[in-house]
Amino acid sequence: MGGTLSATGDAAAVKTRLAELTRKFVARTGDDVAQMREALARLDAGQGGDNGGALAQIHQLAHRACGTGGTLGLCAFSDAAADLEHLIEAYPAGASLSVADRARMAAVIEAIAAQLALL
Amino acid sequence: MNRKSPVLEPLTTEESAITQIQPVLVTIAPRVLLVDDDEIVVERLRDLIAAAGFEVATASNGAEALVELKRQFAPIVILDRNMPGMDGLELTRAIRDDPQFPGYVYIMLCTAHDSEDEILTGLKAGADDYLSKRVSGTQLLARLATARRILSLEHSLKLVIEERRRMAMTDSLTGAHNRRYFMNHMRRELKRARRLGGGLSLLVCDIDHFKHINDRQGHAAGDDVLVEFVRRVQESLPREYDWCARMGGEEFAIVLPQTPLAGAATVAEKIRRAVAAAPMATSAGSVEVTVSVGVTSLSVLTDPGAATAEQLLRRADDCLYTSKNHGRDRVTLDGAPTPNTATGKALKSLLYVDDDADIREIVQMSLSLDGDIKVLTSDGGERALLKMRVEQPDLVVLDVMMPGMDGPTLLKRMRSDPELARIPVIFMTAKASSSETGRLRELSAIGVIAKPFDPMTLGKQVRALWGAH
Repeated sequence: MGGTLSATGDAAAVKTRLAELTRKFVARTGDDVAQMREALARLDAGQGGDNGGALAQIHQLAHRACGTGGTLGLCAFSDAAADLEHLIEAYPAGASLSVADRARMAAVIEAIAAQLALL
Repeated sequence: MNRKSPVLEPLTTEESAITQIQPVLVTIAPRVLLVDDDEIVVERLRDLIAAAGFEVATASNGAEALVELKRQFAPIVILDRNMPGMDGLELTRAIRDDPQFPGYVYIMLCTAHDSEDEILTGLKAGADDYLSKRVSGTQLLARLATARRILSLEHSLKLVIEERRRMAMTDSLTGAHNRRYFMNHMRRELKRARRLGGGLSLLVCDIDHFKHINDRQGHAAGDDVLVEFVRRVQESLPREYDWCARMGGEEFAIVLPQTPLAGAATVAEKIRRAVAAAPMATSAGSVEVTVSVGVTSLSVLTDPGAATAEQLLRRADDCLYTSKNHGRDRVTLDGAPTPNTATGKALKSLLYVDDDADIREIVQMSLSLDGDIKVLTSDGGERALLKMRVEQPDLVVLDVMMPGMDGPTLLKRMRSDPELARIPVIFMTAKASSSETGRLRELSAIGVIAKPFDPMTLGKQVRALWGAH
């Protein structure tokens, strides 16, 4: 799996590795945000009641971004991702979203993107 | 109704010692298994935990984690609550439900959020601790230290329980198992023998004249003999699944799984010889020790399927009793037609009683031709009886015609003396008519040798009678 460290507790090495992992996370999350936007576009295209799993997909990406961001100590970013998770959880499963709902969701996704750009 | 409220008994010293156990800190940092489907999370946590000196294993989902845990145990598992496939809660329950793990698994459940609901379901599922993914590295390590402290406590409790169990099942003097262990484990051995076949044999050994050793050399020397006896027994048991238990006093039981009667007979004879081969060193000087053995085996029973530990013990005891009654230092097999044929005891010492000094000398010389028989002589009367008591010879050869106390009278005296009653006797007579020979045999002699005898073949004659009795 790589990335093994000596057991001597070299704090500097851990810090360097954290920076490495953060870069990796930022690159991956950039792709994730792109996927969120795509999924939201599918919702905008309006598939009626069934949202084609798009909501679930956005939720899962947001959940991972929130947890992993938290693990890496990126608190503001993690909070932004948590907002999106909570927003989606407020809808009952299979609910159709109003135009206003979708606009709110797009705004939260852009807030995540903005936090990501700061990293 | 008069109801008595329960009163707690005060703790005994031993019990309070248990309550004061200091956790023995597990010095080697325990292995930690990290389970998360996001490799970035796994890598970050591994960096932190490995840097603190823990050995870290990883898995990316619940099923993989279970496989890894079984492959190599990790007492601490940090797992993500949300994972595709088997999630953290399911994995927690799976670990708690599996009794096969060698120790307690300290489970730390990790999640992106820390809502009350999530914490409660996690703890209910069996997690020991609940971590938000946002927890700082410092806090994570502090919580790991808690896990380690609890595991250390578990470890020390286990050690104490193990030690107490061992003590409750062990004879403290000899280190052999004790009677309780025997009764517990004999049942298991019987079950296993029924399942696997291959037989199960039991030896019961009793050190000969142990009371004399205690009386003459003192109890400390007696203890030394018991310890040395067990050492020699264990040397004679090469297989690690054979075991020995001290049943009490100088009586021991030896259990030989997967062993038929014939194999057990060989082991019994090996033990008998190992004990008799060399004197035992004790605090009161060296002591010659012999042992009598009774051997039984499942295969001897008419219904081996219904055999009990008690039944086998009783049968082996009966055989032991036969060994004792036939002069000790011997092995008796259950179901054997005569006690001596299967594992005949060598004739090692003999007392020849005759009033004629010249004949005593000739007999001593001719029997000494055989080499390994220790030949003692006596001129008869009370002195002969005294010598028998002191020397406990394997065999007594009596001249029939002697002044004062003749051979038959001496034999009667022997048979009424519990210490001498079981020593076999051969008569030597100059009047070897068939009626005289018959009369002498009825006196419970094992044989009659005619005088004059052939000095070159006397040893052979004596051995033949000895072997046939």
